[in-house]
Amino acid sequence: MPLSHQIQGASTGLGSNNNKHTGGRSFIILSLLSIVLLTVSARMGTEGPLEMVRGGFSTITMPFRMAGSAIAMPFQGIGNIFSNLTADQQTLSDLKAENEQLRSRNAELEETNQSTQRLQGLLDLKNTYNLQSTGARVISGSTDSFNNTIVIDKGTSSGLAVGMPVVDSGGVIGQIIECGPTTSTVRLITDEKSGVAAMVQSSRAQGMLMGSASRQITLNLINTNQKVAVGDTVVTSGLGGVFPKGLPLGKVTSVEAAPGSLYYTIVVEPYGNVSTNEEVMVITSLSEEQKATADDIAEADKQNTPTATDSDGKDKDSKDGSSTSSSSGSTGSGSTNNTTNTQQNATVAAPTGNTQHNSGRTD
Amino acid sequence: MQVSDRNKNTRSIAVLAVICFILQIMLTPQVSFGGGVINFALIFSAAIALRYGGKTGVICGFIAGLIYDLTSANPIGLMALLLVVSSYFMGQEVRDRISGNFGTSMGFVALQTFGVTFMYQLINSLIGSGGNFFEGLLFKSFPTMLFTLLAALPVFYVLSHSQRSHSSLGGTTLYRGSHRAPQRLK
Repeated sequence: MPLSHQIQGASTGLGSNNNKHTGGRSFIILSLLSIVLLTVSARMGTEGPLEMVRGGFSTITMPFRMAGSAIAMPFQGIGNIFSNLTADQQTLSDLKAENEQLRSRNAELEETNQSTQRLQGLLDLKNTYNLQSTGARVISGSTDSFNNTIVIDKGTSSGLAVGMPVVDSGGVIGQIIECGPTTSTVRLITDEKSGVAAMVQSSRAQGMLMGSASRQITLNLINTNQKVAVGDTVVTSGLGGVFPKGLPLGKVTSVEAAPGSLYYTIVVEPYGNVSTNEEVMVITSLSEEQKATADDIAEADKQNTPTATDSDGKDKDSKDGSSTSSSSGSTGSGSTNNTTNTQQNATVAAPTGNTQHNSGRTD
Repeated sequence: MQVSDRNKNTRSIAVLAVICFILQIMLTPQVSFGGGVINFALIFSAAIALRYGGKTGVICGFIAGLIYDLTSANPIGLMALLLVVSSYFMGQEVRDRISGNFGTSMGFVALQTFGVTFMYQLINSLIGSGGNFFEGLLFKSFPTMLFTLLAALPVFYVLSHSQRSHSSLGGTTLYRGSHRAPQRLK
């Protein structure tokens, strides 16, 4: 090959390795754009223009999701029949074909029957708990493994909003985290980012039901001085005002208390069990009786107090004493009591002491 | 000639993009194995990066990542960023690694799958939307890596064979310069 040709070729080769061909410029621009998108998205959370885009995209892709769901539906019911087909094909006759058809039909009817039962269960749940709710169908699961979510076929156009609880016939299954015009994404209670205020139905011990990466749910923050047993039902406590009080969540499958630990490790098996093509109900509003009352909140607070005083002993008592005395001091009229309280608790609650002095002077 | 080949490339990319998009939207939510789901966006970006590389690979990686982000419930832009970076590095040096080189290309895909999935879990955990990193790695990332690789096997097998016959017809001229580069060294 002539040298001039080689030089020409070499220059072409170098040219092919510049930014235009290696995509260096595109790489830098798109990387920066991605970082900007990521920052905006992470900061804005479930609001903002990017979430609107996500909602729009979810609406556009809804037909595909529904198509996928429809395609997958027969395989859920007739999986066993399908596996038997290969064995039967050798001696296939009209009778066997008819038999297969009937089996298929039977599977279909079974699916319909189960669907009816689920719907009946939802209606029962709705009537039992007097829920203000909207029915919806699950159209797909999560498109990635990092979130345990489902997508339902109702959105803002049906009056749904972010934060609304979602139940199936078994009980609570999750909460809406994204809401597009025609679809909503529901984070299931088994997701590790999920947390529901819950209590043990029999003992009224209150805690927090948390999901995990392994899809196992645990009831946390239950003091070891509370009574919890395997088989106990866990229900929503209504604290937080999101979930109605008393909805079933699951059943306690194991209770462990590590030596010296303040809290139990309680594993719960959820009652709700959702897969695609099933019906769920979104609770759109809560009545006053479904919300936790002030007494419930006080009871929940009380459950933590005995353990704290029992385990920590006098320190906690003195703190409690300081707050009590300070309040009585500020509201009380005796200036001598005021001074005594201030002296006793000077190290614990200096600001309180100052307040008492000020109130004393004003008085 | 070049225009015609470019059109052919664009058509091939579009066909693969549509197939992967439909599979990602329709199939992935229905099929889950032990907590892991197939990441078709990653498979698509790897295929484009290894076959075409350069600017095409980077742009396709970005679009695929963005679509993945829009379908998931995690912050938008993370998968796009990771696929842009991985596509850029996979698309460097010699293009068309897929052609007749199934084993090597699968090696690159495995590296990309591991790197991208690991980083996705790590960054998500760092920004507070991925939960516990180690649990996530064990229960989500590893099954995803495994099943993405399994799904990539037939895709790359077909692509490696289709490219071989395509080259024999003298089809690829879009990156002729880089194909010539090794010959010049002789």
